[in-house]
Amino acid sequence: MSQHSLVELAQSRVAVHAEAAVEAADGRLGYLRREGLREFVRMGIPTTRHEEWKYTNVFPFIGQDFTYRPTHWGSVSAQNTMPASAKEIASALGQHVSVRIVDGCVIVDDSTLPSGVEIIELTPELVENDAAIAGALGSGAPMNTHPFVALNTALLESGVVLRIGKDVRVEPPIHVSIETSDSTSPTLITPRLLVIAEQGAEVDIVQSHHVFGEATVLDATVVEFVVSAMAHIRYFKIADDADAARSISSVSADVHRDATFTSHALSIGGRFVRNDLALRLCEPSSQGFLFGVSLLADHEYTDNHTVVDHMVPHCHSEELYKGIYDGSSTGVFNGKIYVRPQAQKTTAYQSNHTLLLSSKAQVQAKPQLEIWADDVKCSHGATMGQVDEEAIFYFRSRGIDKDTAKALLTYAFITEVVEKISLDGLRELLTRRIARKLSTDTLLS
Amino acid sequence: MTPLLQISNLHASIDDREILKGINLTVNAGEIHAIMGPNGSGKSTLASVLAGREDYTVTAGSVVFQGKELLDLVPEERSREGLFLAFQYPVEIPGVSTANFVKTAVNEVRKHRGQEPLDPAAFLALMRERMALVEMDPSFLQRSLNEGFSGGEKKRNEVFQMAMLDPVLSVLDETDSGLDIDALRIVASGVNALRRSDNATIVITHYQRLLDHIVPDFVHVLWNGRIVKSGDKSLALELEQRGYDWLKQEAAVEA
Amino acid sequence: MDQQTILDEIVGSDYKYGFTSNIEQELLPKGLNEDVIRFISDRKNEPEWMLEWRLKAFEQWKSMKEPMWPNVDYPPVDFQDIIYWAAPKKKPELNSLDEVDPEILATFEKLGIPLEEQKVLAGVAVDFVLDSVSVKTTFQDKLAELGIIFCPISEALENHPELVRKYIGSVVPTNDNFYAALNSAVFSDGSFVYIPKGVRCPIELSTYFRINARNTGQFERTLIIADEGSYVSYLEGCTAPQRDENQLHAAVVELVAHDRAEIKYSTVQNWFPGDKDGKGGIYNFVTKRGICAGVDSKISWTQVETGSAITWKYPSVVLKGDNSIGEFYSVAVTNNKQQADTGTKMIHIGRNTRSRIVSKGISAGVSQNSYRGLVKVLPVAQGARNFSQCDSLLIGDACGAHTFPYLEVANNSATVEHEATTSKIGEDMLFYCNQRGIDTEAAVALIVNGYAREVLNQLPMEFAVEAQKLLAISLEGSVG
Repeated sequence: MSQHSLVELAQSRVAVHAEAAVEAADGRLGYLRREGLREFVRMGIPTTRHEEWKYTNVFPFIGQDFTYRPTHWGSVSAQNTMPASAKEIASALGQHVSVRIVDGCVIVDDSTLPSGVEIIELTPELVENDAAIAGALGSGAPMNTHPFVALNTALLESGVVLRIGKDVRVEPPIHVSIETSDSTSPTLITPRLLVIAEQGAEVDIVQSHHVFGEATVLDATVVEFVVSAMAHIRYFKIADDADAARSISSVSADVHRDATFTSHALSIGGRFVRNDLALRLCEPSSQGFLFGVSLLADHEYTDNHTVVDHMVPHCHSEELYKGIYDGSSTGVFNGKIYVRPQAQKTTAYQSNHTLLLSSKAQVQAKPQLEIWADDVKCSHGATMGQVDEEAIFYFRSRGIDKDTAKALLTYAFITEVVEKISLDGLRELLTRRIARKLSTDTLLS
Repeated sequence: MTPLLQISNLHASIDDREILKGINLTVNAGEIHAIMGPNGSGKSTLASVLAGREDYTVTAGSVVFQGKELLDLVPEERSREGLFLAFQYPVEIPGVSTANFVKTAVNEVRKHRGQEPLDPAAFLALMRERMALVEMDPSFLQRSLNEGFSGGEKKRNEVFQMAMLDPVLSVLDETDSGLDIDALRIVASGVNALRRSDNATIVITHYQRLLDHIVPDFVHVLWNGRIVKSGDKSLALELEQRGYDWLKQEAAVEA
Repeated sequence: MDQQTILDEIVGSDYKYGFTSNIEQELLPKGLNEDVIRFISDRKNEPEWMLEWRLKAFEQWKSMKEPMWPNVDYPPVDFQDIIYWAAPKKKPELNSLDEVDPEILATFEKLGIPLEEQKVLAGVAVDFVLDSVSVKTTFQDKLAELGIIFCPISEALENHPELVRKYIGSVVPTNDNFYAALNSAVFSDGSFVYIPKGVRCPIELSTYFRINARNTGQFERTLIIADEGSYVSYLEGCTAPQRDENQLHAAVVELVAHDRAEIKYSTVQNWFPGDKDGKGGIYNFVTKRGICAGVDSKISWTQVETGSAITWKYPSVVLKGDNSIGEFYSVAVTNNKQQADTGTKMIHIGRNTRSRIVSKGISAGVSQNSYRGLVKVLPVAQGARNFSQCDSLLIGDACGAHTFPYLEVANNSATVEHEATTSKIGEDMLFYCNQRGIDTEAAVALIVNGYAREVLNQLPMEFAVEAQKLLAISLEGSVG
């Protein structure tokens, strides 16, 4: 699908809704769609000449004739078709709340829904009648700078709102499984999630993406978080191994006073994964922790773009992304720390470390600091290299062969980040997956 | 005899919160005064106000130091007049060697006194001699000021600088905090070695322990921004045994 | 006294080198076209191929656009409002200082340029560029004995055309970027250095640039070639008179290091930065690049940048020869309304190539200071290593410091390390110094010189002293 046809698609969908609704009743949702369309047309499909897309080339696949699967709400009936990779995560999580979006169809199993948690269908009526949702929707996602967020917004017809009530601590994690089942024709999906954690709420959200077939799936998911005062959200995004997936996902989080947002971008493979994460620390004493693991082989590709915006004084952010690239894979890290003039007493640390395991693997990193306040402590570090030869020699001198030593050291390199995963089951699952991919599973068992 | 330091009715506040509520204190040459008190009583504020930290606003009172109104002077002038503050938390200054820093400071003070700068050889010799007082290794001279120093090393560096600047009045702000007994002994012996009949020391501390090593002529208890009791060194021992609560009650009754 | 008062009180330290010398000058009318280029080439008696080269560059330039990506903001430059040729009327043919125009000599005095005999004896040969034409070169004879060529590039075109033709544009092609193309078309003069095989240049070669004529864009071209096993240290220093109009400066510097050769290039840049309201000041859009063409060669850039209203400059090294080394040491100070976007590029091609980047940015006033650097390791660069340290120091609460490193690694035997920090000269630091009798101005100078020490240490001694003073002068009144 060319840019032209993507624009046509968006135009026609926006028009359908505009006709269906009286202009006045179209409301916020209609406004967002029109704005999204306008911005998408203005920006177009980003080329590699675009600074933010310098290393990420969407043109090899964007020209395909995608079938669009709009987001809509359905019934529980599709339950049994859950792909194995999703099941694996679901079972690792133990008791959890399940939200599946299968070919755009939202299926909520609310049998395990704790009190104080709402999972609501995003409708025009909801947006008109709920000021909190209307205010939050589209306020964080970077529609004006990210072409695929603009596309998602132009196609914003339905979606999922997750709301965690005041002081509710949600014990079971919420698993959002985004699946596509069509194996024959290229598919476009544009899931949309809005998560609102009210004051003092606490929740774990695990989001995973699964593609069934061989045909390309362009997955342009947009997730927005509102983390109210003293709330804590831990968010895990897991990229699937599927070769057919082209995942362009954008996450934004607005973090308020004394609240914390923790994110884990876990890419244990993926032919094409582009993660954008925009964190806004918008009230004093808010905190953000961003972690990332990219373990790539063959022709896999992962691009992590993060922006941490320190808007006010006394906020803290920490970022640690690690990548291991084998085969002909490419990893990109583009992290920006932005400290606004009024954001004094900011502490912001970012680090990005990479191991290149093969001669054809590549890494591109652009760690940036943009500091407009003076009383700050900010730093970033980036390293790219190989497993320490000295360490390998040390292992060998203790009788451990070179390959084993290398595998163990590589595994140790990445575990520092994996250890930060607070959900036991998920951490163990990721540990197993990483070990399997590094072929160290037999060594570690 | 004119006192070295005369603090009269000193009031000071930070962010509109009054911390010092009328301090009166007289220090004569040759004396060592200890100021004790529970956390938050205003001890470190007093040190900061004397040194001229700008975060604090003096709202009333006067501090006369060697016949001059101290409060009219900017911090570096107070230093050049002979006031030394040993910081509770000495600042790390990356890239500036201890030797270069101390040389700059000493020459500023000498310039103020109308003296020529010391020649490098004499200066180095003096630094080595004074470092020995606090058992500091000369290798510290080439290291960035306080950067990567342990807590004890930082405090020894403070006393070393005190020895180099030869102040008239030294204020030691919780110099004992975080020190083990060996470091405490070294720091204290350094301070004692610098004691003369024409200078004076104010020791601010939370613990009686330091006063075993630096023996004070007077002990004052600061509570809620005022000196609520003064005595000799036996007062420190009494505080050690009885804590501060009895004093608080006494003060409350008096108020 | 609070920060703002201190700041306001002392900010008025005016540019100390703001004066104009009244040498009679020959000026071409403003504007740029083919005739202007032909005129320049003709006035310099250039060979035909040089004119062709210039005209080709001009054609390329016409189709190029000004780069907009640097993190700087300034009104557009009107390239037709610039004088592209200015030369002192009295054509100097000088054997001794007595023959130099007394006005020029007075200018030298004011600048403190070491042209007097004792300074020369101190070991500095000076090729002085006043606006466009080199007027005085010293020690040429002595260098000639060693086979070293150190002369204005216009002279090299006359005496060593084959060398110039071989190397000019070989590191920075005419179409490399907008300003390089412009420079290639209109460059007026500059320095040429050739160090023959196995020769260690016994003295620091030095050039002072000075923008003198009103509204005259400066387009120097410097070309330094170090042949096999040779060594040269080259110093470039600049001060410019105070002006109201913005002046464009677009130099090109090309360095070529052959097998086992080493070039050390040091710059102290102190052009007029504009006044405290951002009025006037030099636009400094410079292309500097060296190629380590041979094995075991080394190129080292050291710069202390305190001047210019806008700086756009990335001294780079192409590490082509195996085991070659590239270095970049930089202190960039911005104060008042200055803007700087500066850094380096290290392109690793050869095996076991090494690069080191130490960048120290200091921002004060309402200035903006950006580091932008690229470390690129090509697939063939087996065993390449890079270390980068990019620190920013902020003084006052109205300035900005930005770091944009690009790290692109396509070889798994490479090791690339990048570290960056941003911090401020804290009030607690200043208070500590005050308490030890050091006033705030002196404390800032002390801290800044400490912070920049690693870079200043790279400068030749006579430059290091000057640079230290310059840092203190540049930051006068910036305390906070």
